[in-house]
Amino acid sequence: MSLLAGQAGNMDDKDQTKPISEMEDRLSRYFRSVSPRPAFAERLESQVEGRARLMETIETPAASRLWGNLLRGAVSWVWAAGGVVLLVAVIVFAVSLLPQRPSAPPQAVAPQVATQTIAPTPTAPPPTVEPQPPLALPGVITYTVQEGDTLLDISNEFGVSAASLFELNQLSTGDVLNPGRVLLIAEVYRVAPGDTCASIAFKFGITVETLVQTNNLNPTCNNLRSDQKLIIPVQGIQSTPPTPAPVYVLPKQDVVNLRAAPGTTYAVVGTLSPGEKLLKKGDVTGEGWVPVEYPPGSGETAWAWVELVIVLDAGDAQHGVPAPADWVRADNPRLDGDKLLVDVCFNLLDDGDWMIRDALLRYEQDGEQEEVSYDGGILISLRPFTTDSEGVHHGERCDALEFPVGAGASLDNAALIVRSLDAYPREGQDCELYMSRVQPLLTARDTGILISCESQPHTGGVVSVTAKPDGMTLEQAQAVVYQAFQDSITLSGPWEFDLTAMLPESGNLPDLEAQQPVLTALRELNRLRAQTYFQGPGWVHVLDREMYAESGGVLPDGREIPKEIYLDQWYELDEKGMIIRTLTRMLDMSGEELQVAILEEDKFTNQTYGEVRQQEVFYLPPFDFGFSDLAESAAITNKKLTQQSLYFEGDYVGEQFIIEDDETRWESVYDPATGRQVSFTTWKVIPEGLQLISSVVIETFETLPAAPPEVMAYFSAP
Amino acid sequence: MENLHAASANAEIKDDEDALLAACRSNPAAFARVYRRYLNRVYRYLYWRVGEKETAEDLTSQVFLAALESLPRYRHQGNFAAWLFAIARRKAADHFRFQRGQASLEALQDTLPGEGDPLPRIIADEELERLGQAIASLGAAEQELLRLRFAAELSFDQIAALLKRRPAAVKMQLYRLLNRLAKHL
Repeated sequence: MSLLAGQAGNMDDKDQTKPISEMEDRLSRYFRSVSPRPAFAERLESQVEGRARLMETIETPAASRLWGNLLRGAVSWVWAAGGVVLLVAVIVFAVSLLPQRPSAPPQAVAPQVATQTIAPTPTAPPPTVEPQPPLALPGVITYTVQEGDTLLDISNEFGVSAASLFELNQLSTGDVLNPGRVLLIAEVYRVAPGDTCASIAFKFGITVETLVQTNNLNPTCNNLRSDQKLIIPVQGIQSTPPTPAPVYVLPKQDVVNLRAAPGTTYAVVGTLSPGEKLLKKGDVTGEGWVPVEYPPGSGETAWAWVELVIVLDAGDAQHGVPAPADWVRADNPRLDGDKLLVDVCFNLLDDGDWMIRDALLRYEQDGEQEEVSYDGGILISLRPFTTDSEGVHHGERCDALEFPVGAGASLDNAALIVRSLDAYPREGQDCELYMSRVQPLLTARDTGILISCESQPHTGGVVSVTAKPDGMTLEQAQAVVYQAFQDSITLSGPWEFDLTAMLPESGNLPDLEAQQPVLTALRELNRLRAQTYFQGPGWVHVLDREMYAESGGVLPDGREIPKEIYLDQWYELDEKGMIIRTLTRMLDMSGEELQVAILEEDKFTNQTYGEVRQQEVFYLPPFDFGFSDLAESAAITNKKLTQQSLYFEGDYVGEQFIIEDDETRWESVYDPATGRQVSFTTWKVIPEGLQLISSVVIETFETLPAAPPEVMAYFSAP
Repeated sequence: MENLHAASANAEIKDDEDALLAACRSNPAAFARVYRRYLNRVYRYLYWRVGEKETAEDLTSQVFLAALESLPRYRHQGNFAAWLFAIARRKAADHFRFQRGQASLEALQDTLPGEGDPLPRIIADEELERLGQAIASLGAAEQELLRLRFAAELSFDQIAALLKRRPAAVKMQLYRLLNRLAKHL
């Protein structure tokens, strides 16, 4: 009968077991009445097996991450010629990236497009751009068609889509491009729902100012229409390739000698100590010597033994598009046992699946400086974009980042560094990304690589390298494409936050005016809750789980009340929604009843222990543990009242209201649809952060026309 | 008693599952066995969550590929099922986020198993239909609990790990719910 231990004690086991096990059988049958189609099951199995086999040769954590990225990108590669899926090449490609990932595209490779696959005339002269276009439009340039040019050549040459050329020049598919014809060249972009000027500028690597000027937009850029055509100037697309990210060399031990030349027989010209870093100047020699710039900034070279240093490829974190500083902000660092939590908010461009790729926490533990890095791949909570009455888009999302820290951790000298974020394409959008972002980037970087992409169900897409410079191997080309893919989905900071400076200061007076709208929102939720649940007469049933840092006292028989309990509460309401009588059952975590109390009028009866006394009515609507009352008086008691949307592991939980002063912090979360309270937490503010006092999670909150007989039985019991 | 047996069978599976997952690290192809073990359960969970064969299949693919990819990061020894279904829950939640308005929970409750597919529809007897209606009248959290228990076939410990609650509390809630359903029918 152990399975029934959690049930209310007054139930007769014999009567209950039978219907329950019958019910279980029926539910099992019901839920098992569907199964995956065999064809689907087999297809997926071979897909899973195939991917798993690809992973077999890879063992290092770096490799698994790379594989993660590859799989998330959900792209396999094919030979341009045969169209055969080349699994071996994928492995070679991935492995070849591991020891030394290219921190920049190989600029040395001549940008010769392997034109034989595209145009029949590999000797086509370089295109010339006419200096003064006769049909001058802002952002649009002209080009005179040369002998042998194809539209695809031209679109690749300028990094614009062929569709744009068709549209701008009013071409149709049968048209012949005669030499001497003047074409207008620019990218034409159609505004999609949810686009902002910033997101479009980001997509094409231009500034918002350029976009606004070219298209004569309103300077605040808040009047974009869906399907509106925008000109993306070609010089924006052909921007200069980003400078290679610096690679740093850090010491692995206390002192690392720096020598005048590669070899221990050469003179020591300096040392590298913890906390210092030097710029890497070139490749590691075959004997394992790494050249660094020393003294820093001098341009001179010294050599370190590679085994004693860490080569930090900042390209891992800093490639991609640098993002403005105000796109990420952090707030409210707090310690909770062996975890450090900090709220981080992201003001991102679109509603993509953004993930934190790389973050680092520095903190002090027992006087020692510690670091813990954030294991990437955590989805940033998604919130749909909204547009307010002034047409401004809002897309800020917040999450609490959680770092495991030791027990002696302190927030003195603590800092959070968010290095980069990335957003992989969603299912079915891989090819769109490859063709609209990766190909332009490859073109802008003069890589001479052309790709094509074919969408496929379930795997995302197949990307093929259709042209590459002579002398570049397929693997090298794939590495360049992969780098461009990474760059096109990455936003890099770093965003640094001094957590210590965020700790609440005493004597910091709240802004009373600012909290007025918050109070209004809370009142509205209370009104909604009353409307949803307290339309008496009838019963309100609340089941909550309560956890206390310290035991709430002892029962009349001397037993200590556990720190974690359930309270099963039944309120009978009259037609005005006022409480007539209340039953409260206290249960331990196994469901065992600890005591039952009844409150009618002002008569309090502890039924379990036969105690009767006078007591004032303790709960009245709004049923939120007095949080709303506290909020009402926050302004006059100098407490700060704030509100935010609460997310947990990517899921929206509800609207969180926070009241805080120098000593205590109260948090209450409500469901905005019904006004129902979800949880209520109190914290003690201590110098190190916050310490939990109590936490209440409301598991059931419902209105019933009548209480069930087993509840009514308590009222009629002697 | 049937469920007590199921629970002990779960314990045995768990032991050899840890060995299997360890094997997956050095030999990822072993993951195909994990896949076969969980395919039906993941699919059923997602089907009853989204109410459409095609969507359930898409999401099922995503869950297994995501699990395979994340396997090197899986550290919670002995709680693989809870981990896998956490991925499934997230994928389903994402689906609803992106498809808001297209498939509300209420709407899919009207969808009987295999709608549009004549044979299962005939098989779906009156009893299942009545049960389906009763389930549809439950709250979202209660429906989820039933899905986790009977479609995903998770143990109380696993559900508790997934929902971050005590096993005893999960058990209590489920048996109350079964009791209510039994009375209702």
